[in-house]
Parts: sequence; C-alpha cells; structure tokens
Amino acid sequence: MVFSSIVFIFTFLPVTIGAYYLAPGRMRNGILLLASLFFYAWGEPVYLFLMLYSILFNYVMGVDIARKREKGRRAGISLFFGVLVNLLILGFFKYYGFLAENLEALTGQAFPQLSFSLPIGLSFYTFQSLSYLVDVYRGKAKRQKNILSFGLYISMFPQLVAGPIVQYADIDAQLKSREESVEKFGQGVQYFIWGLGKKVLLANNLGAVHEAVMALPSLSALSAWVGALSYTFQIYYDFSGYSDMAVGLGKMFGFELKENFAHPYCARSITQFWRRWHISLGSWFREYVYIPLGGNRVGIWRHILNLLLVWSLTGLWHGASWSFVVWGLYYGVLLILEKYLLHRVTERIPVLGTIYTMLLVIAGWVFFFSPTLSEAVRYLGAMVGIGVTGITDDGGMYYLLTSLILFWLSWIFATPAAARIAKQGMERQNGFTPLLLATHMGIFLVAVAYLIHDTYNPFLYFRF
Amino acid sequence: MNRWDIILRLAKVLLAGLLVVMLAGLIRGSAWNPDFDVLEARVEAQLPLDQLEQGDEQLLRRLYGLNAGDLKNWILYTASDNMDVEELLLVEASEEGQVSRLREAVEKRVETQKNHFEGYGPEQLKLIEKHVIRESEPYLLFVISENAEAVKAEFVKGLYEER
Repeated sequence: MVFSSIVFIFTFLPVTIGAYYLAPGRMRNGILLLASLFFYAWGEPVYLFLMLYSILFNYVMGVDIARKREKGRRAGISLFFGVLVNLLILGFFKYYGFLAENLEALTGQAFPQLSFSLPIGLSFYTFQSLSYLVDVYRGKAKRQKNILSFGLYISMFPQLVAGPIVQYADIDAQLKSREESVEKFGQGVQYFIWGLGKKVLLANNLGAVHEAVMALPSLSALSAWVGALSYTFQIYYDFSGYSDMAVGLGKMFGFELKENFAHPYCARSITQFWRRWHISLGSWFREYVYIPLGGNRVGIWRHILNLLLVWSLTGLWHGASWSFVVWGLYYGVLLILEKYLLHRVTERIPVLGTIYTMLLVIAGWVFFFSPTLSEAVRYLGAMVGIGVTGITDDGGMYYLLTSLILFWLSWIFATPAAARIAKQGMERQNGFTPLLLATHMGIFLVAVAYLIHDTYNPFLYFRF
Repeated sequence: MNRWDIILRLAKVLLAGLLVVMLAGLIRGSAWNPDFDVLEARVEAQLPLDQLEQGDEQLLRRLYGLNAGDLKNWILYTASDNMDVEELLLVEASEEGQVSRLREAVEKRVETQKNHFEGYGPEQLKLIEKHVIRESEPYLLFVISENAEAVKAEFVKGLYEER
C-alpha cells in the first residue's frame, strides 16, 4: 500500500484514525502497531514474519545489552551480535545477487541462483533497529520495556516504507507520551496534502516526461538534458512528497518526525546539498559510521578515507550495484574537494554556487537512473553532445516545450519562497484562512482525480 | 548466572536458530534457474552474429560428439570463414551431472582446434588459448572470441538477475 493511493486515503487512514482516537490512551500504541503490521502485510504478507522477527530479535537484544550495562558487564559482544544479525538479514535480501554475481565473476565458483523480492522498507527499518541497539549500548536511550511500543518504533507505517529514518533517542519519549491535539492534527493534514500534491501532481507528471524521453529511439543533447532534468525534479518531489506525507501522518497521531528535506536544490555547494537532502540518512551515517570512525578529528588522509568509506556505503545503501557505489563515491570525492579546496569559493558566490551544485547533482542522478555504469557514461556523453544525433531534435524540442510549465513550477516549489508562504499560513492562529483552505482542498481534489484517472503512480524510493 | 540471564541466553539461541531456519527455507523455496532464452539473448548481444553461422544438430554431433536430443536447450555458432575460429556454445543440461560430461566434450574440442591451427595459425591459436568455459548448473558456456570475457560477464549477470 502506498500513501498516494485511493485505498490508503479513503479506507485505511480513516479507519486507523477512528480506531486510534476511539481507543483509550494506553491502547493507542497497540492500535497503531496493528495498523502498521496490516499496512505492511498488504503488499507482502510473507515478509510480515521477517518484520515480526526483527521486532522480537531487536527487543531481546535491547534487553540483553541494557542488562549487561546495568550490571557493569561488557555489552560489546551482545551489540556486535545484534548488529551482525541485522546486517546479515539486510545483506541476504538486498545484496545476495550482487555479491554472488561478483564473487562468481572473480572466483569462477558458481553460487545458487535465488529469486526473492526485496522486503519493502527493509533498509529503513534495519537502520532504525541498529540505531536502537547502539543508542541503548551508548546509554543515550533506555531500553524499551514495552514490546508493543518497540514494535511500533520499528514498524510505524508513516515512516516504514521510505523514511525518514528515525533515530531511537529522538522518539523514545514520544513512544511513552505525546501530545495529540486538533491543531497538530490539522497541521498533519496540511503536510499530508502538500506531500500528496508533490507526489501525484508533480513527481508523477515529471516521471512520465522522463520515461517518454528514455523511450526515444535516439538522443540529442537537448533531449538528454530534458530527460535528466525531469528525473532530477521527479526524484525530489517523489521522495520529499513521501517524506512530507510521513511527517504529516506522524503529526496526525501525535508524533513529531524530523523533516527530511530542506530545499536541497537551492544549496550553494554539494556539502550544503547533503545537509538538505535525505537529512535522516545523512544524520544516521554521521552518527553511527562517520563519527565512530573518527570523523574529522583525525589526520587528513584518514579523514579522506573515512569520507570515501561512508559515501561508498551511502551509495550501496541505495542499491546493490556498482552504479550506486560509483554514485556514492562521486559525492565522496566532491565533498573532499569542497572540504579541502573549493569550499570558500562556492558558498561565497550564491548564484554560481547553486548552478555549480545543480549541474553536479543532475550529473549524479544520471548514475542513479541508468541501468548500468556504461549506460550512465553514454548518457552523460549525450548531455555534452558526444554520440548524439545533434544538439537538438524534434523529440527533445517537443518534450521541452510541453514540459516548460511543469519545469517552471517544479523550480518555484523547490525554492524556500513557496514553502515559506505555506508555512506562514500553517502557523496562523485559528488554523486555516479561507484561501489556504481552498488551496489545500483544491490540491487534494485534483490529486485524487489524478489517482482515480491515472494508473501511472510509480514510487522511486520503494526499491531502497 | 540468574534466571533472567538463562532466559535471555536461551532466547538468543532460539532466535538465531529461527533465523537460520527462515533463511534456509527461503533459499530452498527461491532457488531457480534463469530462462535459457534470457541467457541466449545476453550472450548473443556480445557477438558479431553477422560473421557467424548458427550450427545445427549434425554440426553439434560432429564438433562435440553431442546428441542434441540429450540436451534440454542449446545454441551453437561457428565462424563463417574456415580460417576463423570464433565459436559459441551455450547448453542447458537435461539432467544432473551432465554438465561435467559437457565440459569434457568442450575441452576435447579446444584440443582439436589447437592441434588444427598449431604451427600455421598463430593468431587463431592465440584466440583459442583465450577461450572461456564457464559452467553453472545446469548451464555451460563455451566461447572463443575476442569478446569472450564480455560474453562471460553477460552470462554471469544473467544468472543472478532477478526473475
């Protein structure tokens, strides 16, 4: 089930909200847990067992680690075991094919061919489990005594499928008690509608342009740029729209989830871009990988090595292929260059910094959407006029002209200006002004009309 | 060690065992073989098919001593020109253990070709020596080509690509 679907909006969500608010306070976590497990099982009933296993295993390991700490015994081995099992599960489901293919190519030894789909949200909830175990080990958070509350942390449907990745210490207190109010609920609805609009009205239409360009028999430099640009905006609105819906749903149930995006396409440097894009993933890697490796409090070469390691892992987290590793390393190298050479230049020249960042980000997305590394290189070549039919062609011109308004709107909504206006409206007293009410109703109705009429409703971050 | 320590230790052992059972069951239930057609298309895409000729059952018997009826699927290409040595054989075995017999037949073919070109065809001999044989039950791939490594890479990729 995805948030941007009729069954979710008109059946699952109202029933869950009704059951949640009709139940007494102490039962609400249980209701939300049940709803989350149902939400998960809707798409893949088989992997519900894996989810239940993950909840049970990490709950037991949390108890074990906390007890050892309380008794002054070494809890490191328990933490190691817990981390190992979580990574084993992630590795098995997400990286088996990739590993087997590369090992066979390397050794000539054949491995069994296996076929199973990637459990939805596995990368997200594994990282949340690891966060819990490490936070308990470090004493940053107390172990969760209530298994229902812990199960809710792992499986909570608003952020289960595509994040944001919630660090346990950030939500520990909210699992016990949180404020639910009409105002907060209203804010949640606004966030949800805003996210739905981004996803259905912008991302889906941008996705259709990208797919049409990719289906062209040959590329000109112009069509290659139109294809790359449409994907650049599509992935932003797809993912940030889903994150907004998650934050909104969280608010409806009283939770405060951190925002995952902060206008990344207005960043003046790659460093800034990654502080604004998928913030929860960056924070996770910083907290649990980069800092334990020594962060930047080490010599220059060790620091460079740390950055390359963290970024190759970030790439690999996104998918089991060399394209993603190269994509991660690409950013690692750019961040190193900025840290040691360019950083004073880029952030001081606002417009130039933004243009430089956007060009590199667009080039980065080419690795993301290309099926193989060689395809990515070929596509990048096409963008600079290498191996193309010409600088422009009819197809490229057609898609550029028919998408101009879409691109223009995409750019406007990617800037802080539009968000600032919406936020000011949200913070006004007495909830909605009539104009804001009409705007949100309008977005909602048009988005629903699109969902009923249009069957094209992909979701890019599902596969991660 | 108190009662809780024992319960926790037991729970960890049980959970580890459960994971092993779960993954083993999944491996058994998920084992599969890619379609022969998929592998065939992948390897063919790496070869200059316009310079090759597709072999028939008689040629398969003549070159490898193999009976086409004993195999589940197979495809054979040989060079159009007698002085060229490019060759591709992709076979899907019909029974367990057949792949090792296929390998023997292919190795014999390599020796025959080497003897044939030794002394007067140094370029051809070099290419034959760079041949690739890759077996992965129930498939066997044999290639003599400048592109042999790329063909092998595509074959391996096809083996693990998600169904």
